[in-house]
Amino acid sequence: MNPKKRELESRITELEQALQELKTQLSQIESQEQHDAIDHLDEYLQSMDNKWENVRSFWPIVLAELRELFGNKNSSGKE
Amino acid sequence: MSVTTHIPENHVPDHHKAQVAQGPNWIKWLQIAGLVYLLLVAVSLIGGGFKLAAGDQAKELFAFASNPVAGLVVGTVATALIQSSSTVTSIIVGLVAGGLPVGIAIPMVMGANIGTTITNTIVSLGHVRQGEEFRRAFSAATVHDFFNLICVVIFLPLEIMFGLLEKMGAMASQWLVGGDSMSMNGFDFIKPLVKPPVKFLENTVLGGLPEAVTGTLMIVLGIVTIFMVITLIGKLLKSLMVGKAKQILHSAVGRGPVSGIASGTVITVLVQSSSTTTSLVVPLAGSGVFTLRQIYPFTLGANIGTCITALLAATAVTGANAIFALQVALVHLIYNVLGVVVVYGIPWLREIPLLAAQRLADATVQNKLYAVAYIGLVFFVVPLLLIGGSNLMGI
Repeated sequence: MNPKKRELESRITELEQALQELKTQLSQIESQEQHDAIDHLDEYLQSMDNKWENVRSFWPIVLAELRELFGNKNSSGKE
Repeated sequence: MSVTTHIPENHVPDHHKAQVAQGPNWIKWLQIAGLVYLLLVAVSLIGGGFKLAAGDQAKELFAFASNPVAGLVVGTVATALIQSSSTVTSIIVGLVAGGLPVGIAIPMVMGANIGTTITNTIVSLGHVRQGEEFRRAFSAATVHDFFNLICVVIFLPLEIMFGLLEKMGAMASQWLVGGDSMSMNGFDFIKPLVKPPVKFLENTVLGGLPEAVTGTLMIVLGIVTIFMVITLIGKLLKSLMVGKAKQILHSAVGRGPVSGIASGTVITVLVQSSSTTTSLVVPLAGSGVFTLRQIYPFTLGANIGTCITALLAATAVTGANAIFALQVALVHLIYNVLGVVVVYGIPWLREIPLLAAQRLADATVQNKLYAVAYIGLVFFVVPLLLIGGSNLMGI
């Protein structure tokens, strides 16, 4: 067998193993993060009780975007 | 070539430490038992109230909703305003007990599925100041909306044309209680439990008033009681079941979509609220720890789990309409199971809610007005336009 070809095959096998190892490690880290996030479920449940606060904090942003939208139109109209 | 990556030393996760059985909270469980009893009484009150107020004219009373689109809109808007599909479906079961035809109730139940999705959308608005986090949270909330909208687009025409769900519900209810009987003898053990307070209210507290007034007051009292009871049950179960919910979620990590659907179903049964389940995944997805594709099956399980409340409510109904009350509760279950099987089971259909949610979230991050327009249109404006259009077309 061509030594160059053999070397390439060997390197591909090595890379594939390394890639697989990395994927496993990534998957473990992701799972760990997910478990950690689930441990905070009580906090998420509490925040659900304040959902109208969300609307209250969302509304000023919407109003600002509305003002920007119409403000821009008005200023471009004047120009 | 060697690749080395530092991995944090595996530590025992908190959930393993926390999985120590919590002492039973008897007072809360007793309160829940009492509230479930009140729920059954309230459903019975609505049914009894309608019989008193409308007599045999109940069908005519609901003529306004005989248009299936109107029924869908009533279910959607009522649930979006009350923010509880369990409350609305329990009320629908009570109405069927009072004479509302199952055919009219089915689109209302479908509408309840759409209306309930507003809650997690509102929860996702809390992430608005964090651009990328908001994009993920908003798409996690609206994927459930798009899934439920697709279910209606598929099953409402089938229901209008062939009465598919009504027939399946009838078959299932007759199979459950025996095809030769319409009196649901199997559920008669509930009657002695719920009848005394209903009769006490009807004959003593509200006695002496004209029947129509007594009936109307019973209906109003039943609706208010269902609303309060389900809200209180939800609050109590949330505090009691959070440990169990964590345990279920931990066990579902990395196990694929079927496990996600199953865990979403079980958690919703435990907390008796689909909006609690679907809202829980919003911060999980928002933080980027769970992908949209990972939380999608979980929200579908919520659709199935929420059917338990209407089934429970149906056990309170006795008499000739009991089987129809059970039928509509079973239709709710069949519809949600079929929705998951069809929409999630067909690969290209499965992708539509994901794509739609992602596109909408991308647009909303650029301009928050899209979120306002979306909520207004889906839950209020389009439903009302649909009623107008369908009336004009004489559907």
